[in-house]
Amino acid sequence: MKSSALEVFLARLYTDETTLQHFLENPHKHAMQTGLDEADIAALMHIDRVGLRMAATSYALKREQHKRPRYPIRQLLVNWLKALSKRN
Amino acid sequence: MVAAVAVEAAAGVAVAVNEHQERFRDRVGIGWRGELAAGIFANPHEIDVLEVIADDHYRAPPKMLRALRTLAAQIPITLHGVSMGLASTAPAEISRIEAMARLVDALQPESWSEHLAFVRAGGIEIGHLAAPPRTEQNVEAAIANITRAKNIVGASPQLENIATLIDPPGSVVDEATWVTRIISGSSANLLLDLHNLYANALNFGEDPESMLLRFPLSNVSTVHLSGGHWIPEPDNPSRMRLLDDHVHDVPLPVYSLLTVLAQHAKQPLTVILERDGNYPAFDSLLDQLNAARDALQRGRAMARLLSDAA
Repeated sequence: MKSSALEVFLARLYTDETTLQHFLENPHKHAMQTGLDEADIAALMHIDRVGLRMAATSYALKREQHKRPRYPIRQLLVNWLKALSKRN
Repeated sequence: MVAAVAVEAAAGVAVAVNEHQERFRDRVGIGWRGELAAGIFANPHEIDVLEVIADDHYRAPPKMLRALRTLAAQIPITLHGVSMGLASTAPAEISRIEAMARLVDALQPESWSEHLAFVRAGGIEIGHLAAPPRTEQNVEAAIANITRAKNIVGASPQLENIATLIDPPGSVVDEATWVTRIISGSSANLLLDLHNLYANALNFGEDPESMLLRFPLSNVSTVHLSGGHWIPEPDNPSRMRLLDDHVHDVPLPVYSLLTVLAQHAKQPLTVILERDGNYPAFDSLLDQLNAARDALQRGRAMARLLSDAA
């Protein structure tokens, strides 16, 4: 088992909705196409599918949160100043 | 009669001294957030230590670093990192470790900490802390990452267990064993997040207290307390999993776990309340700090009773 390859594949499942859907529809076929070794593929056949979907959703929400400005009022002020400078 | 009164008085003094020493040894603090600044500055005597999120300040201008040094001069601080991914099988990025080293150098915190998690792999950023497959290869790589970080920063990190909604596939050992091997192999201390442990135990069908007792409790330096909420499983909303979110109050069973920890761990503990949003009135957070102090004292008292009885 190569943990590093499995971590890469998990990262892809957590971040790419299309890959996740393809994997959930046919885990064995999709895992075989990734080039993972037999032990990793066997591990993926027993994956906690419910947890996988919940984790992927949770990580997607976290990524959205990171995109939001930490201080929206400050961001609004910056936007307002930019708009003002363009007008002038 | 006089002798008996004197003994009673002495015993009373001894209890008071013990309680004082324990209050002095065990500390309770809170995560530094700008939104909580007013409450923190209004109640400095209620807060023994502040935990600062390091990643928020890796690119801080000198003015901000001066402000943090001023803060550290008033209340001891620790630094907490969230993005190194020290439990990756791949090597942790040197630039992130160097950023921590610069911040540690600038602020001289009491300690610094990171998570036992992977946050990226193969160039993909997950965006949050993820539990890696718990394999022998992962344990070795994590120990190598921690050693590298220790050498660059100049001090060993405290390492935090994370919450996970998925039992990582390919794991050959359970979480407690995995954490114990990494802590033992890296000679690092454990930052034990009791809500993370509580959530993982409930989500994967374990008894939280039994799980706690399998962690390396003699290596715990710091404790995190936080809250979360239950979310329904897809396709079966009657089944729920507990999501650690840091925006809810600490649930009562987590204080009970703190009491158990304080009973079994002989070393001083620093307890940090984590709150990242949905901020209540600061009095409510102070109540949670006091509940943590009470939980610690209950555990210490229990340990004393058992020790005296033995």
